[in-house]
Amino acid sequence: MTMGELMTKTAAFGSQNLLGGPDHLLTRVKAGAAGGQRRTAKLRRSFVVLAAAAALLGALAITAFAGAMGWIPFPDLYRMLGVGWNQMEDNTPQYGVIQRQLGAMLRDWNHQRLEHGLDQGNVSRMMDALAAGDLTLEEIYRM
Amino acid sequence: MYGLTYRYLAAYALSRIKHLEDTDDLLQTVYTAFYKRIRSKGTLDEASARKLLTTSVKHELSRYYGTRKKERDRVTLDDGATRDQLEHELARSLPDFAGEDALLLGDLWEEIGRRGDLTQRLFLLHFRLGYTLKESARALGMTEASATSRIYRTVAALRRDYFAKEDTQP
Repeated sequence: MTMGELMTKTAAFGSQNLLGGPDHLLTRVKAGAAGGQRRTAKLRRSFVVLAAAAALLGALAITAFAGAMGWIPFPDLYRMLGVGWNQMEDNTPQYGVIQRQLGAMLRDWNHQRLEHGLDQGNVSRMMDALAAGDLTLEEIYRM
Repeated sequence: MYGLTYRYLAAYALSRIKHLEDTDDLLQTVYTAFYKRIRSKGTLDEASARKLLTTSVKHELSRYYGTRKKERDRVTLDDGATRDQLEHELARSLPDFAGEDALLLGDLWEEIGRRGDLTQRLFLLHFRLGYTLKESARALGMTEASATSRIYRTVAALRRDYFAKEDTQP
């Protein structure tokens, strides 16, 4: 045996846990593919969970911020908040959201009245009357 | 396809992976993904397969396994003498039992490991995967002269430490 041959044997011996060779690898690959597992599956799964959690938190934070600023017209927000129209302070962001939503509802209602040949109501007056507590939503609908 | 691509891919991974002991895991991951792909989408020609597998190794290295920090190459003068000395050293005769002694092989491998990560990678590329000195050096981003010198110094030291009494001239 020469020193060169010994070095080849040493490298093969030392690398048996690093490089099993094509046959050994093929066995591992088939077993891995059959089991649907990856050596890094744990890492990847935790990465996906983290990314999803971060995306969810981000979306929630943006939604909450936009909602608080009154940028998003949440349906039935006032009901969710458990307050009536005339109980809400007009300097709160929620008031702005609900007021805009109600304004849109009334304009739509006016449009329908027009289609049926009826007079339109004055949206801003109705809003003022609601805010002042002089009229309820039910009374407006009955007008 | 394994036979056609394994040597190249193993060398690619060996020369770049951060921790050598992860090499087999990385290759398994890459080939498993490839195996699933050819089962679902059909076979590929060698060039396309090699390209796909190389991209996959790069991806795994950057995403999960990390790439080694390149060691600064010590520039060695390429005078051709070191290569002759290495050839001479590798041709020296040793007792046959040396290659069968697992304890000795383990000790030799540890000794090579103590001489640095780069030396170990060089030995793997050259003696395990059969890359020439030039190819091994290129894969590791070093000069051929440095690679030759590094292997020569290691082999000479191993022979001196382990076989000083037994060795005979070829």
